[in-house]
Amino acid sequence: MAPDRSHPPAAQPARSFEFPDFERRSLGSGLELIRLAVDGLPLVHLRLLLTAGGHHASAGAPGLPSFTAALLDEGTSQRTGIELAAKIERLGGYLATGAGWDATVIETEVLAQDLGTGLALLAEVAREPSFPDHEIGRVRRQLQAEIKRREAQPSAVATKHFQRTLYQGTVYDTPLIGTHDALERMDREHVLDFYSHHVTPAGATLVAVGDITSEQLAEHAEGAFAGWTGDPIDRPRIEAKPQKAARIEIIDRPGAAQTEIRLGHVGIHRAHPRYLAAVVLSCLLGGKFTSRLNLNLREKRGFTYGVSSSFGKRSSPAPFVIATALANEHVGEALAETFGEIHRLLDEAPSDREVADTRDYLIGSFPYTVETLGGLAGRLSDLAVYDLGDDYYATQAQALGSISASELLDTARELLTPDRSVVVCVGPAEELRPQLEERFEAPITVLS
Amino acid sequence: MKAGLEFASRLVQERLDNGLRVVLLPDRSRPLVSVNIWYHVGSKNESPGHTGFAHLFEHMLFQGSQNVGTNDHFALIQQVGGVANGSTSYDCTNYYETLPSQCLELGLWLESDRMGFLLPALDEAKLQNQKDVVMNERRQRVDNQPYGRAFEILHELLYPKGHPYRWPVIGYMDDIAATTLAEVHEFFTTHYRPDNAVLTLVGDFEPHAALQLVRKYFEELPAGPKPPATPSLEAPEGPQPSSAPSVRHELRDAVNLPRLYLAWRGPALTAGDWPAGNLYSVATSGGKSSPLYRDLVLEHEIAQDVYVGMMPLELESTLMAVMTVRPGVDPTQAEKALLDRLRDWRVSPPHPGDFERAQNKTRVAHLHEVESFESRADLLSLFATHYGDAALIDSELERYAKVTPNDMLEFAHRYQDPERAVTLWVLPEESS
Repeated sequence: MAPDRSHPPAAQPARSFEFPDFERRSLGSGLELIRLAVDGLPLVHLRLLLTAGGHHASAGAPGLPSFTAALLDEGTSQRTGIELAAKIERLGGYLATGAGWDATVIETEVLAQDLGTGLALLAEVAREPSFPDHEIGRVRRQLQAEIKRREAQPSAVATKHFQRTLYQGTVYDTPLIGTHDALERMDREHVLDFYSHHVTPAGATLVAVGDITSEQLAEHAEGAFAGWTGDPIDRPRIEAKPQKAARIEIIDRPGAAQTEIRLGHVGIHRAHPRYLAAVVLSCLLGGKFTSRLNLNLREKRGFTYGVSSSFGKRSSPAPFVIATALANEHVGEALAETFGEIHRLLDEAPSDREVADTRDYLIGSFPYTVETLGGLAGRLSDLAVYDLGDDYYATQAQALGSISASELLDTARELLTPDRSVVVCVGPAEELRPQLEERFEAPITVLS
Repeated sequence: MKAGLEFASRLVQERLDNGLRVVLLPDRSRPLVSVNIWYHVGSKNESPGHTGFAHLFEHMLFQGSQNVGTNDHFALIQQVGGVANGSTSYDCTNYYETLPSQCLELGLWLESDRMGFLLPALDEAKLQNQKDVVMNERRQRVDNQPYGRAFEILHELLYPKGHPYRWPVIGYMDDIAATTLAEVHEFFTTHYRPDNAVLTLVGDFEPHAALQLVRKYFEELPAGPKPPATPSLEAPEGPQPSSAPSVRHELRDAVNLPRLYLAWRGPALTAGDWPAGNLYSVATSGGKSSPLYRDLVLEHEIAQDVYVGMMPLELESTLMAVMTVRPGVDPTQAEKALLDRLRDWRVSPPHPGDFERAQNKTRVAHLHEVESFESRADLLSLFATHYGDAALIDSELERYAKVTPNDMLEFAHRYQDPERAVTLWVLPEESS
């Protein structure tokens, strides 16, 4: 018999999703362990989160936290950088180090049978880096080349200028990687100084996800981290000066095939009480395929391949940003539509149906984001870095489910300030400027 | 310890009367289901002057069908907490959604409606809109992207006129702009049919009940007349190392670091020496301790990055060595250094440590490929499409385990001749 195709079939009774149990314990010295056992794959994902972050860079030394992090696995008291890499890679694993704004991460993933080796190397890199002079020079040159490469990447240029304007005079005004000149000035003394004052087990967390028992983790971690001590360090609070009025910056790229856009302003920090409502609001505006901005700019007008909006995730107020790449000839119109969509959020509450659809999307797709060891480790890392509380993911669906249309209207009015937004356009100024002058009163600056 | 994970014993494979191949893999570990369809049609089925069509067509499949409104495909999926997408390659086009498992039937209803009843919903306005979107996609990914045009130029140099891999999947701008609604209809009728597709479900379902649902929605769709044969190569004996040994090209682009692309014609994805080639790629350049990275990036600081890799394609693969060059390094010297290293690999087999690293990294990579339902379903569809049997997913690592260091040497010798590479340099504009 032919099926009834005239309307979507009803769902079966739902099987509930529960965030898997994890356990937490402290080693002496302040290091916390979080373990989440996952059956199925013979792999263990290990992530050590240190409290030292990009926000600890001093004014004259942007990039020093990233430089230090990049050097952690370039030599230890026991092994050269290449020996470290060879040992872990021969097992099929990897070792990676890097600094985000809020944490330095040392990460490894190995087959479960190699847990001991993985954990020992991770601890060795955290505790005994030797910062050899020749590696300092080499990594500096590699990072400087990377900076140079990014200068030709329109999306990187747009993000860099956007954040510079938003956060002028604070540590957030320069990318984590730093600048060519600052790197040029950094030597071993700077790196050692940063390491000794900022890398400490106090406040650090080791996240272990995968095929690993409580006993295995305890046995290996206690051995690897025994005797590691240090004092806790504070997280600085980064306060940007609020923008007084909207402004538009064009980074001129004559002949560019498209214009890369960043539009927004300073938002909120991750632990802000409105954060979850802000996530729903941003999802409705530009966080899913059926968001208002994507349906308008892409599906209705064909101005772009895609547009997104997001509230960033940092311990101090992070950017609220709308990001897109637009056909040059439609930049003025597309930006006017974008501001129109923001104002619509300020003028009237979304319908209950639209709010419910957005909440249900976020609730329903969450299990999909934690299918993998890396996905789970990412969620547990946020828990540790932002002190979200151990029941955060267990209660998140309920918290999302209670967000109402009127709360979203309040959230929009509290957090969105389109009249004090920064717009950065990386594209051909000659073509962009008349379109922008025609539609906006905000001052326009053209930079090369 | 076993090499990988075993799925074949739980796998259900069926072929419906209309030719649709169905692959079911139950896994109750999480309350999700992935619905994954591969149509055996890609840009290789296009012709010069009509490039980019398979990909543009993929976009049109998200524009609604007879019973699904214009933006409803995504709306219906997202409002139940599902995620969906599609992608087009040279050989195939895939569509997939991962849903809360109670919504499996929704996914089957959506996929069957657009497999069977797409055309009544398409119109000129939707086509024009998606042409604009795709032209912006091309600008974003190709024309306004540093090195963005390299792959299409490389393929133009590597493959002779008329070869089905000669043009880019996304197509040329003029061809995208010229697409007509009549062509969309013709393409759908020719290629989007049950007997040219594989439907894979992975996740939280009972296989018998799931198969009943699949039958309910797909069984009545007609097979239609036979689709035209897949394009084949002019050289039936298989790929030759290179069609044009001395081809060189320089592209001036908005980049700051020069980049070198060397390319050769490699084995087909299903060829016996594909695993050796894949291991060879990982052995030479997979990881910081690999010989190429160590030598060119770490020790001599000639390169910012370097990799050897093969694009996995059905008729023959594209084998490449790609190196981004450090500022201040003479490109000629850099090219010589890379070619010298590649010559070494044709003289002696990989060092035991490099061989072991390649084997273990490949094993871990396979584990990641089957980690999420979405990725596992995609891999099952790949095996069903290209190997004719999804159960071969279990033997993938065995094929790799059989490769010896000498097989890798033989691979390099057969395919990667430094004297016969197609060479493309992408250079900064200001240095001209």
